[in-house]
Amino acid sequence: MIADRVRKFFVIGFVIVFFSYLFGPLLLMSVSAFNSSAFPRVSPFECFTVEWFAVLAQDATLMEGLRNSLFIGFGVVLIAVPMGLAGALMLTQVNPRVRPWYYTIVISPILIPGVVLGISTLVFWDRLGTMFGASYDSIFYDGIFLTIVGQSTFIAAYAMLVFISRLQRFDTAQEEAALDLGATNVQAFRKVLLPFLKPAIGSAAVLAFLASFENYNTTVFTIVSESTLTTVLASKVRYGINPSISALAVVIVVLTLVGAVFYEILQRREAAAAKASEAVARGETATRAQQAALYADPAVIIALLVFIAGFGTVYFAGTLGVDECKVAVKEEKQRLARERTKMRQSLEMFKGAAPGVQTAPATTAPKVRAKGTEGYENVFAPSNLEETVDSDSPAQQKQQEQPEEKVESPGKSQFQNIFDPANLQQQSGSGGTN
Amino acid sequence: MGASWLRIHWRVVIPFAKPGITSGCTMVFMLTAGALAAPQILGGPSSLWFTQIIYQWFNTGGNWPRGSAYAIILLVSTILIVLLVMKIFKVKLGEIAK
Repeated sequence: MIADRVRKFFVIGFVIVFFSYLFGPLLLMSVSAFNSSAFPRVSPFECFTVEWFAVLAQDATLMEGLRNSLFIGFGVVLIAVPMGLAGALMLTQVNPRVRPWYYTIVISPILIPGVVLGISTLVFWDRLGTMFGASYDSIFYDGIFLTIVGQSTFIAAYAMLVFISRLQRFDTAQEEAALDLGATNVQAFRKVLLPFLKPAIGSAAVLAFLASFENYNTTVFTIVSESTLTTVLASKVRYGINPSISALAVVIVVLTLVGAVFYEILQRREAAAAKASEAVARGETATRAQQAALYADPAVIIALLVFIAGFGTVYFAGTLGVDECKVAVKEEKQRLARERTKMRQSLEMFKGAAPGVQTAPATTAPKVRAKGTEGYENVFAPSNLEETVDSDSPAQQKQQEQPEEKVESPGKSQFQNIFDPANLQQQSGSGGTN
Repeated sequence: MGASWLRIHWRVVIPFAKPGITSGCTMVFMLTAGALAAPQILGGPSSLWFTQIIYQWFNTGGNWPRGSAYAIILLVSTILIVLLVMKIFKVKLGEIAK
């Protein structure tokens, strides 16, 4: 039906626009990482090079910021995931009338502006440090500690959301059965609930790490004197950037892609293994076919080969012939610049020096005169080379406007008064006032 | 019962989705109101955000108490706006917290 076709068209169009809006800047940035121009740009694309990755690796402040970001990320995961789990479990246990208020309080760190969280963390620990009389080297003022603590406040809430959605599908009868069969509460938690939550713990950990890695609002206040990757990038952008930032974006995108591909491969292997087990349980096949080991799995091998081939191609394309390409680009730019100056010069000469071809009115002629060139106006005019007696032609009229008199020898007409000693005072005077 | 597609959406689907819509709107509003990175990098001097002013008072202004006061103002005003919008659209807190 036409309505269905129209709807499908709009849905597909919306998806295309959505993804291009989301990934367009990332794509352009990735392309600009391989351009040899000093400012990140996509057009004109000068030379395909991988030199910016080397520049990135040698940037000491950026590398230190990256190390700090990774360390803080791991710290936040260690603190925020257990806190989120505790908060989610509490939500199931608390009195149903209190539940909305409890939920609002625990979810509020996500909603509070990040700058407020950062400032409050900083001020709180500063007050605490003053109370204990701690010095500025102590932990109360340490940027890494403050950032881990400050980020954990709202990242624990993110983790809690993940656990809540997973817990909603949990059948509490399983836990009650374990308790009935003689398990202690700790045993029931450890052996029944935690294995059920394992996928949620994994996704909460990844979410916590990524949220901590990309956080800027809170970090910029709590990081005190250190730096993380985001703060280094923000300060770089203000002072001028080169494509090494784009190279960093490419590295992150490629890491994500590689991780996603291998994760997908692992998922498919697990799904295939589960299906094979089900077939055995249903009695269709006698024994389970042996699944290939991870390193022998054809999908893994193909993926590895594709990635290695891709990296190798990009590396060789970006290092062979780059210098010649850059020299060629530079020469091209110089040639263009020379042509432009030549055009400008001929245009000026054209306008100011040729009396036979009056392109501009005579009033504009004095304007193009440079300092110290009075008397030289019509030097390059070809008509000056011949005998100039005719007074009707416009060339003669222009010449007669000059203060010089008519001379006998050709070409000397404009230089008449130059070597006259009497004119020395005049020339220096007129030259001095200009 | 013969209602048009538009009427179904307006009268049935959207009122059911109201808590979800409100929750999403609240989240987007709070995250945007408290953003600092995007205006710092993308904005120019003619468009100064409140969070940028707070940051400036901490960084170059050196007046932490004043910056903290501004941060409290930001927090209270955003919370008030969210509560006001929730009251106008008759969404109760308990509905968002399922």
